Amino acid sequence: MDTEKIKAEIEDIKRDVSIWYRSAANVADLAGGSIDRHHPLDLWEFSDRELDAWMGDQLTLLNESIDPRPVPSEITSHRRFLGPVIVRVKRLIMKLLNLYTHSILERQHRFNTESVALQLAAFIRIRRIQSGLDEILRQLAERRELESLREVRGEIGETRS
Amino acid sequence: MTQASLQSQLASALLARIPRGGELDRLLQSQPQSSHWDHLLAALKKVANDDNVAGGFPRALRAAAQWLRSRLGPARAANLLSRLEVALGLRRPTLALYDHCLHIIGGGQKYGLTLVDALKDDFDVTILTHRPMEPASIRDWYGMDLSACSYRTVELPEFADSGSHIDPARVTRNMANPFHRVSRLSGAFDVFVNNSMNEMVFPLAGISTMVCHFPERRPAAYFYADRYDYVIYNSEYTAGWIEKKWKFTPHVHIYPPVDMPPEETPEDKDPIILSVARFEQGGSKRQKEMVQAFLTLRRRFPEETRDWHLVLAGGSSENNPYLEELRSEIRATGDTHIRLRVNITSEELHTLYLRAAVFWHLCGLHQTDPALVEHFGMTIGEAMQNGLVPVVFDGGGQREIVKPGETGFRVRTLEELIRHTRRLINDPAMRRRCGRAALESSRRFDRPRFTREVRQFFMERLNHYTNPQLP
Repeated sequence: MDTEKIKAEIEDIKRDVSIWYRSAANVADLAGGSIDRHHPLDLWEFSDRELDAWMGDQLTLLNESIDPRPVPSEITSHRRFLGPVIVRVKRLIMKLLNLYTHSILERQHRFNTESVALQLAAFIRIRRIQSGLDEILRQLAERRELESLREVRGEIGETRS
Repeated sequence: MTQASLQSQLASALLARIPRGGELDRLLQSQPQSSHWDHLLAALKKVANDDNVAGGFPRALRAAAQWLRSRLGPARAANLLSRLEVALGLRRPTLALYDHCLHIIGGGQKYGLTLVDALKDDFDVTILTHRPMEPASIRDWYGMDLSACSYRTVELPEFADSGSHIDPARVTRNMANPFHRVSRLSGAFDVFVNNSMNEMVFPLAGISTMVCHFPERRPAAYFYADRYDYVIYNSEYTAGWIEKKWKFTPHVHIYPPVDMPPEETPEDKDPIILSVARFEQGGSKRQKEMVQAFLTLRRRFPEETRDWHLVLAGGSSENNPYLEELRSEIRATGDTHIRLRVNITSEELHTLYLRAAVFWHLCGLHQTDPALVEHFGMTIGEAMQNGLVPVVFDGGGQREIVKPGETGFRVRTLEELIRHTRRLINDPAMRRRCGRAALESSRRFDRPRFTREVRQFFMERLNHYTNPQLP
């Protein structure tokens, strides 16, 4: 086996492989297929801390998509020459449709806003109840500790007397 | 078909003048997909060694790379070339350690760096971080010389405004995964070790390993922990939670390296109860409760505890409200037998371990969230190495460290803590016996054992990488 020759031959092929690697559009392409999966959540398994974080994230997501009305700037086209024409036509159609859809979507927007606000209020309310409950449990634990210490002291006093 | 026959046929298919991908498909269809590149490597080694067809080796290699690219993606093709280079002894294997929090001092980071220290003589090591790291910092923080390693900072503009705290939980399915920059890089190494609590890096290396210190998040967007070849876990407690939260069984158990051995352990120790734990702002290490328990102990048994002191040592960030409250509470008690030792040097800590007799650790007390219970408890191991008798909370990784009545005690309430500590205070013979047993038992966690286990695991994997044992 001529080591130097093999090394050079591997180097040569590595150059091609390196091009394949660099030109892969994303990690999924590099890995030869889809890499992302849907992970169903079982919220009953969550700890309180995890539920808190999850509720906060969900509220943020809801808040970000509160307005269902289409945004004209979101209409794009990747076609080189026809693209601008397609975009203009689509925007025109959207404007025309807006005459009909606007009143419905406006109502939906108002409903979403109120709904998210209500859920936020409920979230805050739960948090306050939880901190109140935590405080009560802490006091209860302290009281139990004190009571058990008193009992032990009483036993020690009886033993000594 | 025997392995020798399969390899000969694969070699012939690879050497064909016209590419015969279909022939490779047919030959490998009965083999598990994960072993396809093992078979190709074996066949290529055979071609390289036989070398009896002019121009045969580059043709066979190109055919194998093209077949892998079309079936398993370009990363596997690149892996095959890397693997062949190492298998033929053309270069040393490479290993990358990735940790998104390496710029912060911590037990998990020490775990990863000690792992690298154990392997640095056999691999060319690169340390991947998101904030610049210097070997000098590693030497100062952990006493390890990793100056021979390469360091590479992977910039994350998405976290430019987050200071030193890079929280992967900020990444949602609605945004591109910023950690894929590391995923792409991982394919350039023979071995990739993800030492982060960051399961959003997809591994593309020939051998991929994740070290899980605790599964903090549930599987969600960009969850790839189960795509690693091996998941190493630091305690049975962590393994249990990986199964519950991630729904798979991790592969290899390696306890963290506990590295605080004294030169000589004195038989007669001072009457000191020691706690070594970070002063967490949320109070999860329970120093306030320890003060409360010590005061009760002293009030209840003043004669027995006359000479005893409680020393609370640990690190803290600046402006820590919990620490300030603790300081005020201690001051208000007027008891001079309680001392706070904050951010002390390693030498001072060594001295405290050497002198103290009993060790308290209550992380997990009154806690319902498993993530906030001690996953292992490095400082308990350190205390045991110095012959202290641990009295610790009965939960988390602490259950694996302390055997009740033999190497220490486990407690669920402050009352139990007081009762067991009093027994130890009044029984010097028991203290000595438990201290000796604790020291003996601590060898399960010492650094030579860690180095041995890490080397055994990685060298076995490397051996298979270069000489695949085919079924």
